[in-house]
Amino acid sequence: MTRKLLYVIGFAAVLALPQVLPEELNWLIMLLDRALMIAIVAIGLNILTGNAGQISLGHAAFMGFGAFVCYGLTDIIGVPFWFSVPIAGFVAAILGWGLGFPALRLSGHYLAIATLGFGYAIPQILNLFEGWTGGWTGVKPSVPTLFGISFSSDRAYFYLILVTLVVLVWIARNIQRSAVGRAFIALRDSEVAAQAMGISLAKYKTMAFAISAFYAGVAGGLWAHWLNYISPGNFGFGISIELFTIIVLGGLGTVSGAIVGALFLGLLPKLTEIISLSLQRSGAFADSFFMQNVFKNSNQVLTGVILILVVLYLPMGLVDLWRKARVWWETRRQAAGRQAVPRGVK
Amino acid sequence: MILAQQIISGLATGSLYALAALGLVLIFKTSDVVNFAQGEMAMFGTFIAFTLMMKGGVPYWGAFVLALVFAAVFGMLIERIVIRPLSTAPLISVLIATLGLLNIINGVAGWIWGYDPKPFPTGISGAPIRVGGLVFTLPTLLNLAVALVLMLAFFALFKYSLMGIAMRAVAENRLAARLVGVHTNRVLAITWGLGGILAATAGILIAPVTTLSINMMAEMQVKAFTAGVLGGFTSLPGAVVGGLLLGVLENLVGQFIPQLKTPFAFALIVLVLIFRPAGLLGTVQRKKV
Repeated sequence: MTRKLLYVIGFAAVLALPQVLPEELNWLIMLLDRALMIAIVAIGLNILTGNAGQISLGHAAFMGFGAFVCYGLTDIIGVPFWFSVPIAGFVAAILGWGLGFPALRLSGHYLAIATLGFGYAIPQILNLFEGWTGGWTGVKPSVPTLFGISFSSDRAYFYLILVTLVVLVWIARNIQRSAVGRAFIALRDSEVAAQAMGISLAKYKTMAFAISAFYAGVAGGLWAHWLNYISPGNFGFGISIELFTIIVLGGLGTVSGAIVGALFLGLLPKLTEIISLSLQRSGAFADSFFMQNVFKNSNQVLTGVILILVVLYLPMGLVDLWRKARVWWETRRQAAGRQAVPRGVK
Repeated sequence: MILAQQIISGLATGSLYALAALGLVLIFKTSDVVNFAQGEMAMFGTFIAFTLMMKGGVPYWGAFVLALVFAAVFGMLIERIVIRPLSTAPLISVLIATLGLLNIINGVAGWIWGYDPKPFPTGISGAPIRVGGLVFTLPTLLNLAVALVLMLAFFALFKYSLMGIAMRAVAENRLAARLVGVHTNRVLAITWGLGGILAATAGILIAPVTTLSINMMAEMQVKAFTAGVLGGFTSLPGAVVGGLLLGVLENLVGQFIPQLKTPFAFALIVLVLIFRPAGLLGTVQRKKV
């Protein structure tokens, strides 16, 4: 009961957030928008990597593909925005399904390298269609309007993203708890055993790729009309690695892990920026070339260090901290309870 | 004639890919880790050589050798601190750890040396050699020679030396190797040290072409992966053949269909992995149940 109440309060707080934040914190809304869209892609990637065990180092390609499909539908063909976003998801899913077939023959490192190549190739190929994607100069997707409301501000867009996120979280959790989700886990743990149980590798691996590409495509569509500027070069290795980092950091195979990871990694750069700026303004390091460079880019090294620490000491990700804290608390309470019993009484 | 010259300039870029791929393959062959930080190790070693030359006044070859010594120690440190604790962890953890290393090395290099690209000297200079109507530049010949010599040296090391046999034993079955008295940890440390040396060699030879910057290896690294995949990720000669072949093919594609030059390598990775996952010279690895 209290749990449900907490959920309701938490959700109300999230809903109220864009309304109560003052003007000076506009950057926070912007970062939250970005982080939540990235979270959508990460949820999809987590189904593919965390649940089905297929590594993808080129997931930004699906996002970019979705973004350009959505732009093409809305601004070139004239399909309504609310309709073209899911269509972008489905078209990306077809591409993902297609990539699933070569992936059938690959595993582990080889799959990582192949998807890396795929992630590099798609932006290059998109770049060739200049009439559609504008080449490296990019295109400017329009501001979406729904029911007469224009979603031009980050605050308004927040709700659009939130609704999509909630729907997709619901779908992801249902997939994970259904027979399909169990099949993914089975083929992650042992392909041979899964096949022996009658799970078709071809069917479920391609399905995992299609589902995760759908998530990336939808998020890409939202991204295009949020940023109002997209170019094939924006969806490169950097975002793919960010997505991969997010799911590992947050926790592989969980929806909450993808969201926690996306928020953490989305807000971390701003935090380091604030700290760096205040240190820089203090003027203490003005004559140090090294420290000036550290201020310019402390985030990258920090991400790397956190990544290695997580892999070494917290393999289940940040969401596991919560469970660990609870276990620690419970054992402490039990230990305290045992001590309260006088000696000799058993 | 134009075709022949195109093939030669393809070999020139290809020898760079081959150099970058050698270290990757060496580490993968022995320790079963695809080292995503290999390119960054190359970049860091090259910066060390650069600093020795510019700030320390060390001559080119002296700086080269000292950078290799540094790179060997660096490789061993990475193995000891990051890779060894993960020896029983699942594959994905090791992969992530090397991605983390990529971030750290790249970032720290930016802290130390800044973000502006710098010109880097070549080992030899002089008038290009002309044979018939074909032009060979000296750095190209040097790169080709170094790639081939390193390939042969490491091939011989693997095949005939006690160390090489120990490396193969560790690659085959770590537990069994240990049981027959191979110091597996020492072998892995040495492998990473050699991998570091190969990385720095590649970096120093590549830097004159790409100019020295913290991101000099970003695209080269993907090409090295392609070269490794093409030649077979478990074969050192494969890495060189794959690198040279990739360089030539890429140039020829660029000659006839210019807009496909860049996507070509990436499409090639996917195609090779589909039709011949073991590469040209690699051996098929079957999963044990």
